[in-house]
Amino acid sequence: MNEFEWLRQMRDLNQPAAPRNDLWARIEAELDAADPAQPAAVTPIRPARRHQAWAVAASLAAMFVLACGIVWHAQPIQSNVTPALAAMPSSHALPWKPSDPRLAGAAVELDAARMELQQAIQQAPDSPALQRLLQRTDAQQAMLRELEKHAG
Amino acid sequence: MKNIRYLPLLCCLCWGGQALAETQLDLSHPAAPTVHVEITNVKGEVTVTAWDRNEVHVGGELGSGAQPLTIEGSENNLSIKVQAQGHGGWLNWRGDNAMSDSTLDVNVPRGASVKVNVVSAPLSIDGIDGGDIAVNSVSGRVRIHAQTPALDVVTISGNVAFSGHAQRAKLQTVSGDILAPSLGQSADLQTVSGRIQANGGPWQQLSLSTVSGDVQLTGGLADGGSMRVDSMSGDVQLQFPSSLSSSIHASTFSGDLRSDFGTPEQPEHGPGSHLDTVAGSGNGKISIETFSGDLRIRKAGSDD
Repeated sequence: MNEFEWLRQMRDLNQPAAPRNDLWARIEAELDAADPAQPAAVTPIRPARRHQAWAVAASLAAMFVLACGIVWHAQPIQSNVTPALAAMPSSHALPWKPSDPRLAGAAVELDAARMELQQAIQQAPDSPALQRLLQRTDAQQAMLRELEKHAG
Repeated sequence: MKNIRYLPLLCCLCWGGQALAETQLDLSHPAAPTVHVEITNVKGEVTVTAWDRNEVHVGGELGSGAQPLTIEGSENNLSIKVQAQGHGGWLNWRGDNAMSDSTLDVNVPRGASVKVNVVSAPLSIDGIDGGDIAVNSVSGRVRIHAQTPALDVVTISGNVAFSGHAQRAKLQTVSGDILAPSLGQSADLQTVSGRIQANGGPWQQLSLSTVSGDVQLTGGLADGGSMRVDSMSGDVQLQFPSSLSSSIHASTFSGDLRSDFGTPEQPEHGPGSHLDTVAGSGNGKISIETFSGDLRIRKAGSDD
């Protein structure tokens, strides 16, 4: 079979074909014969879907309650552990990135020191030495921020 | 490629032009024996040397791009400031970049008080006797040899080395080391990550704090004096004379504590230890605390 014959046969296939056994007539007859009092074969599915929706809603509500509980517990712990940090201006919590490259190294150093001190304070919240060190580190950072204002 | 033969010539011309652009300095001003002199130089070098004349002299070279230098003020209060042309302020990145290094050799009367502001210029102060010294530096190292009632040095990354004697000393760095073998009555030493090595005393009051830099301190406590050392992760080694008379309270959260005075106590469970003891008649008060740094308190003359 050459290519032309093969193409012709393919084109011939593109014709409407009647099924050998037409099942539709039988299906239609059975549908008509069914009892109209029991109309839906899909009704058993509905209660399952309703249960599923309730389960999703309950899960969401449980997650919300859990999240509220975590936040409620976490807040007093933070304020007890780091009273000095809580009183700190919010600008201090952000990493300081001076525009003057001569101060950039010191900024990284001071930010790292603050982070380490905060972690240490979480472990030893009653240490006055750590609180003093944090205050001094903040004072040094404040001094450099002041210096940066003179930078062009 | 033919033009490459002119490259050495161009380099010579550039270097020569730069050299010509630097101005030789030779300025003088009469001064009182206890004159207060303020010196500002951003980059290059500053050397302050005391002499036995009632005069301030400035030698060295003024970098290109700097405003003409003058000694301003009266006999009691003089000011020498190197500033970039068209830019004001002490720390001015754009202005400082447009200016080349200036070298200042300044002579001041021996009893003068000096205040020096430098950014990336190494600083040496030598021979001051009786006047106060104040230094602000960013990255230049600072070396001071003087007899002074009050020394105040703040650097960021520059190392500080002080010799001579300072009745009151305040030395502060971020990452620079502090070397001070002869601190007087009162000292306040602070660093974030620099190393501190200091001797002296007997101290009436000493305060030392470090975040992660190691500390080595040797000296005695004056009668009724107090000392406080705070460290986060820096190791601390203290050495006191055997004649020490002071209460000692020392503690570490998770470091190792060893002491020649008294016996440290460790909790039954967990790390850390503390020490509460009295040396001699307990006239002074010593308080040392570290978080994770090791702490060693030694008695002078003891082995190990």
